[in-house]
Amino acid sequence: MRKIRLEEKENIKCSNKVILLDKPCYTFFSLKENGDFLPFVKKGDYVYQEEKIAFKKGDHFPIFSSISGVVESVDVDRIIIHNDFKNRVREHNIVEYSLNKYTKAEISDTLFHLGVVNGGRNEKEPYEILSKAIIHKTLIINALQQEAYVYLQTFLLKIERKELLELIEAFIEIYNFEEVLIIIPKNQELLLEEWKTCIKDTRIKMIELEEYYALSNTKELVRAVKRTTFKNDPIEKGIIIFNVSTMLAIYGALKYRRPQIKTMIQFTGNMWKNNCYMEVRIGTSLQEAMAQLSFKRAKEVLLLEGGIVDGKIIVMEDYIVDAKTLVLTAWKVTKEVKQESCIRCGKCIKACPMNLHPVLIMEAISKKKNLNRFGLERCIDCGLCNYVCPSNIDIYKKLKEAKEKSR
Amino acid sequence: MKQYINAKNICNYNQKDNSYQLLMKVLLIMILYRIIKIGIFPFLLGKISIFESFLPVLLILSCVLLCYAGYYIGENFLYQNRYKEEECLIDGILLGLLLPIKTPFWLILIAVFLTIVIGRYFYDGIPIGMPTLIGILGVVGFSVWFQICHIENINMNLILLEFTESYQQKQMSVASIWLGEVGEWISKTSPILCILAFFYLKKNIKWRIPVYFIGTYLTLFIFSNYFVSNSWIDILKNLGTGNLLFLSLFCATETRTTPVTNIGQILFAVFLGIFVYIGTFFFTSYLSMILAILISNFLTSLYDYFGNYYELKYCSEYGNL
Repeated sequence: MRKIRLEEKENIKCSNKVILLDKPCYTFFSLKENGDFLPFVKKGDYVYQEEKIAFKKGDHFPIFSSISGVVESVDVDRIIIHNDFKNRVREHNIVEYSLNKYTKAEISDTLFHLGVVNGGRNEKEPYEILSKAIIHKTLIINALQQEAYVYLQTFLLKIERKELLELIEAFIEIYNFEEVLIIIPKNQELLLEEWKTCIKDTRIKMIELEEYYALSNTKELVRAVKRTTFKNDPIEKGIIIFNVSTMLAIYGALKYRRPQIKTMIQFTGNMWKNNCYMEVRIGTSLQEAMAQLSFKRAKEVLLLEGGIVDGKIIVMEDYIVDAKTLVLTAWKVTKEVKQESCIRCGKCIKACPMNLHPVLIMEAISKKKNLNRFGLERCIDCGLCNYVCPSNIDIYKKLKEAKEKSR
Repeated sequence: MKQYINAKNICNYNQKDNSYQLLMKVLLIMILYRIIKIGIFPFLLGKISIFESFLPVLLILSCVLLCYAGYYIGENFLYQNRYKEEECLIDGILLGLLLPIKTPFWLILIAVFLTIVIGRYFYDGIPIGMPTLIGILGVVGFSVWFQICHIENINMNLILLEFTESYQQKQMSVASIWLGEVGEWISKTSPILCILAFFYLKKNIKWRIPVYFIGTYLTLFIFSNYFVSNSWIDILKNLGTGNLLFLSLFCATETRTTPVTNIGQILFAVFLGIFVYIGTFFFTSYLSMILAILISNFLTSLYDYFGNYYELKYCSEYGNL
């Protein structure tokens, strides 16, 4: 098991440079990653950029190609397209649509038919959220990123201010939101000033919050911002939450009625030569993206999709950048750490933002005791118990096991 | 107020755990103090021979080496990865500090056996009681057995005396008790050193246990002696003897045998105070402290059960927001 240890001396900054990776040799589209998709094309077919290549079983939610070229292969789990570097599209004219003229139904339809996805894993898609919400009271635009050395959302908030404001104002008019809350991290005075000078509608408010790991959970965020809670979904209380990446994807789809073919991701960690942002064609392989960053392959590197605490370990050769990728972390790890027995130090209890007792839950699992009295439903999968454990126990895995057993 | 982990303070929550290293540093000072107090100092005064002045060192070394041997055998032939090397060293050091100087070698072997095999590897690796104290209790048990069977042995008599003789019989002054100057048995180390050690180790140990224990014990002692005598000297003498501070700091806070929940730790400490206080009517405070810790260790799951129940019920579902 490999673990990351953050040292105070690490001074990892991200330059404001945006590298464009516009010409991948191949693009890969997963048919199993975000649901069960069926291919719309077969091997040897020529596809145009922004052409539909697959659709989800059941509701026919589409996937579009981000490049033009020939379909190299179609497997059960992926489609591979060989780039002809001509960026051919069926419709050449780029038309700008007025956002204010949309109706609620048209917005949901457009987002559905253009395959707009929510940035970040395990989230419902925007069309689902907007169509299912019966009341639209509050729109929360979350620019917080709790993980260390991750700044993507605030960066997007800085550079795409005009576009975001246009979308927010249109949403206020169409959905009649009572308020729009833009959550930014504390100590971003410049960003706050820039936004405050542009905001004219009093319903749009900027809120500064101290970023801490627990806020990655929606319930915690709603609680911190609105001092209220919900049972299953924030839409029960008329609260809709999107991050900045998703808002920009929605903007692009509604403004130009074209599917998303590029995504902005941040490369961070102490192993990249240049930490930066990269605008990547959806479907680009990570290997190709990393070649652009002069990344030196080494045995002691841990690659994560996400941040250091809650990131998922990925393998460079297998990973494909898709619309849900936001941050990729590469961290130097010295050696494999040995898992030891629990010493009951209680650090996991101190770290847990939900006041749970992971050590007692682990003991209850091993002794096959009743798990109902441990409040497992409160667990927000933040991964902090894993991070702080001095015995290198995979507590998160055990908690997941406990949650499944208690159902 | 709970401190929330964020990107800025996460470095403070490094997985690297240095609590054992800090504990060993403090124990080293205690060892040095003990060696000077009952080894070098009496030798310089001409009260003991040179061989006797080395006894404290020999005792600690033999305990540490035997514990380490037990750990090595346990890891390779019993259960692997059951406990850490640092824990075994601390067990050895504590045994060396708590055992009487004149403990014969065969009894040290028994103490180490009880500490490692019964205390550490028995019952699925979860210690049933603080391992070092199980070893110490074994030593006491043997010396009692010698008495019962009328087996004449000067060393065993001295060992038993160490656990059964009270400070009142010796008529010690407060200063000598608190400095740990006179009499090897009266305190394994100076209570003043223990208090300093507490402040040094506070962030790395279950600090609620010694604090609430001392609070409970003192409250009961003051309350029960209110009508008899209100002397603060008695209170200080009582607190400074019987290794109460030493045991509450190093043995009652042993991580594996003590509760993990805050309320559990408080319950543990309060009941420990009550058990020790009641125990002083039957035994010396030293012996009652050892027994009380072991009984409380046995009830750890119960304390954690209540701790878990009340903390989940009364702490906000959403942290402290």
